[in-house]
Amino acid sequence: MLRRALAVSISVLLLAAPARALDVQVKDVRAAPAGVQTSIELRDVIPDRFRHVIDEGGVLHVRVQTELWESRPVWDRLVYPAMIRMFRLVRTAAGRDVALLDADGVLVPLAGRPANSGESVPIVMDLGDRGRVSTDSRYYVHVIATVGTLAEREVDEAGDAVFGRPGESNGLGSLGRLVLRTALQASSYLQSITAETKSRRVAGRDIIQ
Amino acid sequence: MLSSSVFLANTLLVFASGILPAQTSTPALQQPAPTVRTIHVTGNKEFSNEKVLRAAGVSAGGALTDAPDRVAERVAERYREGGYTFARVTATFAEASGELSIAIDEGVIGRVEFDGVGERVARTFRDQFALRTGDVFNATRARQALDALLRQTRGAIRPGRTASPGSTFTDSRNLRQRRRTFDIVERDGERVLVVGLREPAGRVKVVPDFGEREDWFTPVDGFVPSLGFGAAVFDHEEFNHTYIAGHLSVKAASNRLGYAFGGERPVFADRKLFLGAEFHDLTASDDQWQISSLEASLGAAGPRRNYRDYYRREGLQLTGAWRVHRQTELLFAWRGERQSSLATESDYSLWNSDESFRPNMVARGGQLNAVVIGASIDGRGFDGESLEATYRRHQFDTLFGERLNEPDSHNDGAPIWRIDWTSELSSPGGLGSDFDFKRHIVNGRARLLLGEHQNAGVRAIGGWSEGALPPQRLFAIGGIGSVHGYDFKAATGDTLALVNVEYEVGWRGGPSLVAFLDAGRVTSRLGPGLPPVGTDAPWMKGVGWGIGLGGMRIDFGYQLDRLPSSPQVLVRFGRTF
Repeated sequence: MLRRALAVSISVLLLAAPARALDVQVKDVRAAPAGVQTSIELRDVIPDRFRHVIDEGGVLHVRVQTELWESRPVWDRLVYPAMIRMFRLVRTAAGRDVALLDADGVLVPLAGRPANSGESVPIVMDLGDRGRVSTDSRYYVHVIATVGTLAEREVDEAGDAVFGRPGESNGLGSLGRLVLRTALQASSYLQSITAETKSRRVAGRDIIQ
Repeated sequence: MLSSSVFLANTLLVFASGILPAQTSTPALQQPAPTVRTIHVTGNKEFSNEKVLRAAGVSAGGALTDAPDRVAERVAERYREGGYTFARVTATFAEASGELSIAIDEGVIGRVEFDGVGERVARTFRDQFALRTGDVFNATRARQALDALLRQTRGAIRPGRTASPGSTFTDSRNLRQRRRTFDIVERDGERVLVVGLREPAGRVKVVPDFGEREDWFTPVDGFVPSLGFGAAVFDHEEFNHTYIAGHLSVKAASNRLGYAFGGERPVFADRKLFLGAEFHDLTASDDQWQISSLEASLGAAGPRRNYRDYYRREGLQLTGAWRVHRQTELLFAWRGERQSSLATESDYSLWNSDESFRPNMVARGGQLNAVVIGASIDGRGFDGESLEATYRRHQFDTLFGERLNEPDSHNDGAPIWRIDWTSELSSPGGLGSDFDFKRHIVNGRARLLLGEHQNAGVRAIGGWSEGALPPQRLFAIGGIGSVHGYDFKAATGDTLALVNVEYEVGWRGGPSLVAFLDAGRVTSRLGPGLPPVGTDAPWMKGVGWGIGLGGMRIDFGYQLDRLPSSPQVLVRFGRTF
């Protein structure tokens, strides 16, 4: 009886495991001529709770923060300041596909809807100068990806619309901006999903080879 | 009267000029705006040309409707919005050629200096800081890099203010904020990023204790209001901070005071050796691994259910812990304390006042001189642990190891796991103890997030012993916190084997369903004349399910051998392990 119950439990665990929402994986970290880069993959970038936003022609904001850390016996060291990139997920003009639009307005068409197909979204992130990676040390990449309905900049723009730009508003306006920003950020937080991962430790010589 | 009217009119004009949009010229005098034929953007690395031009609001072939200074200001404003606090922009327009030049200085760092700390620490920080020569200053990224750098100081060094305001690159609008954490000044022709830090001498905390050292309600002591004290004296060189801890309680029903006072200090820079000592007079329990202090107190004060047995510890403890690896500690302690039995003294409970508390276990009294050795391995390491948590863990209040942290507080999906081993050795010969036993416990726990809505956990405990275990050291399982479906402490012995598996599906902090499976056994290998209850009991097997809501849970447990049967219903205020 105990064995049967254990088998049932394990089966449930195995069957249940694939049901994930927003996942991020580090595929590679290497030194290119321009500097150290990491390749990451986002999976399920349109979680179920946000699908209606895309279906209704809205925009999802994707924030990717990437850090390279040196692994040490005590207290790891941040090698470069965090690299942050913002993307927007929008419906393409054709209306069927979803595209990733980076900060410079470059569209990366994605076949189908990644949330349905489970298709991964590859992103290459520049980390920094290769001269800061030592062959004798070990490193790992830490990635925090957030998908949300409201970007930080839009919070600011909403505040500007109501209370004026920071340079224009008086003390009361500043207070209003602060309250609105806090409220919007709180609601924005509730409407976002975050995934986080750390890569395996990689020797510096393997990065800069 | 006339002069008053003129004054009023002038005043209104002054106000009007401040309120109405500025009229620079009448349409009849307006000159046609010059045309921008070419645009040169230089010095930009962080922003693309397109982004700069969008911010500038100009385009080749379009009209230049603003003065170049205003165009430059718009670009600088966009840089500042992006966190590039020290960016400067100049724009010039050659009317003859129609060429607009936008020159950008994004705020490149020539050198980094740390203000407010000793030279040795400043040198170390310069080597470790993620912002280096050649980087462009960005406030958000700089703050994140500084936070990462200062994490190792455990609060001993904090962001402060630069000693002198930047004279070269400080924006006039920021003059009211002269002293900031980051500033760029020009020294010897170099643009130096000055990072202002401060070194507080220490931190003190005095707060009510709610179960950190003693339960706030027990049948043996009644209500136990208590005060906790913690003080950290910072070492600003090696970051080997001294932690001093105090605990004072008033036991309402037994009319006693409880206390604990001690301290701990690590030595060595990298592989730290923690040395500590503590005096105490505490109401203790060996049952902390089964339920939390909150649950034990609420169970006793509410429905009159006592799920812990208590005894008294008065004495001294010396502790040592060597952190050989960020994830591994070797532990050592010497205990010299008098242990004694406690009787039920309180008759209070919110409900079921016509019932009696379950009798408290009769502990064997005597002088316990013991050596405790052990090890702890934590999947996430001990670096992030607070000084207070480290001190408390080193006191061995529970020899079964601490509970796992909540997995929901981590987004990286990495498993949370922990293994604790302790061996308590007490003998009348070498240690002069009234007790003669050796007890060993190995406890492993792991919890794995399987996705946004699922997690699974497993715990395995093995315990064995030699000699004559006193009642307060016997292993007991059954019921809440061990094997669902059985009475609390249904079996007691001097060896223990226990496995728990849990699976939870639902929303973090919201409703969820839990399934669990337990199997445990205690046996007794003591000689004749020392028969603990439940000698060589068979394997106890429990199964069940539960409903969770936030931190609360209702468990329905069954004995696997007696299905179907009436479930044992337990209300929990946290996870089992």
